[in-house]
Amino acid sequence: MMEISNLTFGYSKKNLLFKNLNLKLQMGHIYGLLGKNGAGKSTLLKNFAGLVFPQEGLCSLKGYHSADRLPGFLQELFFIPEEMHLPSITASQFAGSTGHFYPKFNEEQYFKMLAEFDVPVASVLGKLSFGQQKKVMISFGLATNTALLIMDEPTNGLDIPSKVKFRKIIAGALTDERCIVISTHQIRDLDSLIDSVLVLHEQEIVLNRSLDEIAERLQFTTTAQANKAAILYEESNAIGVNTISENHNETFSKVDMEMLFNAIISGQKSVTDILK
Amino acid sequence: MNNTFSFRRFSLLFSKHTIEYYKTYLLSVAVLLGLLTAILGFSSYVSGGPIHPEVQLAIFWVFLLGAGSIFTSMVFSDFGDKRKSISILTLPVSHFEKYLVAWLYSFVIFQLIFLLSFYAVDFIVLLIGNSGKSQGLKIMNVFSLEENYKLVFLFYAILHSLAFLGAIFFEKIHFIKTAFVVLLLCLLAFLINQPIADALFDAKLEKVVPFVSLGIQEGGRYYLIRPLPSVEPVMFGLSLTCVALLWIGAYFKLKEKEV
Repeated sequence: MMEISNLTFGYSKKNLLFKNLNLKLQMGHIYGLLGKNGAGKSTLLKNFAGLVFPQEGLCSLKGYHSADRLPGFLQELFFIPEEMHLPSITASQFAGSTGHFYPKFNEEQYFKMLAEFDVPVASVLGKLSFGQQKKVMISFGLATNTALLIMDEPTNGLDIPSKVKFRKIIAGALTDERCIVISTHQIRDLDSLIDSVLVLHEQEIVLNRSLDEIAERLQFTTTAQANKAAILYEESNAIGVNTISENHNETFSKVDMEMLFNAIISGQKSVTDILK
Repeated sequence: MNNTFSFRRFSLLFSKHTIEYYKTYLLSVAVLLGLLTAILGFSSYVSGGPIHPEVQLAIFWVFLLGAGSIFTSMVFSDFGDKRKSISILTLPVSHFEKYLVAWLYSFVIFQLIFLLSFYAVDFIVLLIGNSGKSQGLKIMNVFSLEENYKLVFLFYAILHSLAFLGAIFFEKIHFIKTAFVVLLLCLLAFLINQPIADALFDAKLEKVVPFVSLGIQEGGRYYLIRPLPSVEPVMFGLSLTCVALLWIGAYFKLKEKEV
């Protein structure tokens, strides 16, 4: 699938965003890409899609190098950027004019998802609100059935009911033949959606694990429930103190992604070391 | 799969581009027709009826080169807009297919539409101008074999190639930036031409026009040196080579485009 080898990238040679970054993404997974503002999440996704060229290293998908942007590669990838442009045609015309470029495009699936999102198919796309445009792009991207679907901040602009529908639609669209990468800074939007977490921090991918693997190694509990000696990170909130501790007794807890992310970016090496 | 060119992909892209831009193009044709009517009509009015073929040709030159270079400068403008360029660059077609659609629209289709528009307006204006006159003036034939009118198409190719490269090279205000660079290059050609000619000729030189002529003052006589007609095919060939090189340059710039 998608493989990144020794990727070094920066908008200038002095100021690198990534250095010798390595990563493998597998089919049948929904990855959540997390990182602080300015960590380079969008730039990493652009590297995946061949929209920027690395200084060193490469990204490859199904044997194609992304920087070559060959049709065979682009047919296997759909990129939904944070801010997008849609032409002044209707959603149906858009399917007719653009769907043919993707061999596995499913028009029926596209219209079904538009209906689920309550997007009118006869409206001119350019005149729709930002949130509605985003829903059209999400529906179109999913209906292309490409091997890799990349979404940069897909929930920005979506209202709360639409976010719920988004989670449902994405979960239903995952197959063993595709991989979905979602980048977001709204970690809660990914709850019950992603199965693997990627954390980009200080030029590196510091975490690339499935939620199951994280839950196997770490325990997310309150201070009262935690084994005091195994606590790695604590975070207080209005109702008490939550902790991340090493999971010695194989007790599985729900991964609190926000707390995990905070622990990693606050420099808790013990957390990342355990997950390595 | 052919990752360089597929006629099916190309035709799909051509039709997608046409569907998305036909309204803008139709509006542009309407503006062109309006301006041609205004200028040709005004010339007819000022000359008291028909327009002389030389005047028709001058208007043809100005409009073809002016409108053509402005239109060509905008043909890649979507690549300067991050939101639009992402959807173009990630569309599963080859760089060559994207390039070819832009080239066809700005070079071939533009000239065809321009010829049709010009002659339609010129014909009507001449018809009105010649009415009631025993000996009317003829419509100018830009393809005439006797006159060297077709030179305009070579100039269009040169300007097109410059504007085409500028369109993909610059992110914003493509036309102004390209025009500025071309003017600088012309100025540079004039500035370096004189010292080069001085070094080549041991005589007092006057009016050294790059690629055109050279005036020599010697023994109280003035000699004007111009290329022989036999050299014209070489000049023509060199011009076309420059055009081809600029077009190729535009293709590689498109391949290198990032967001």
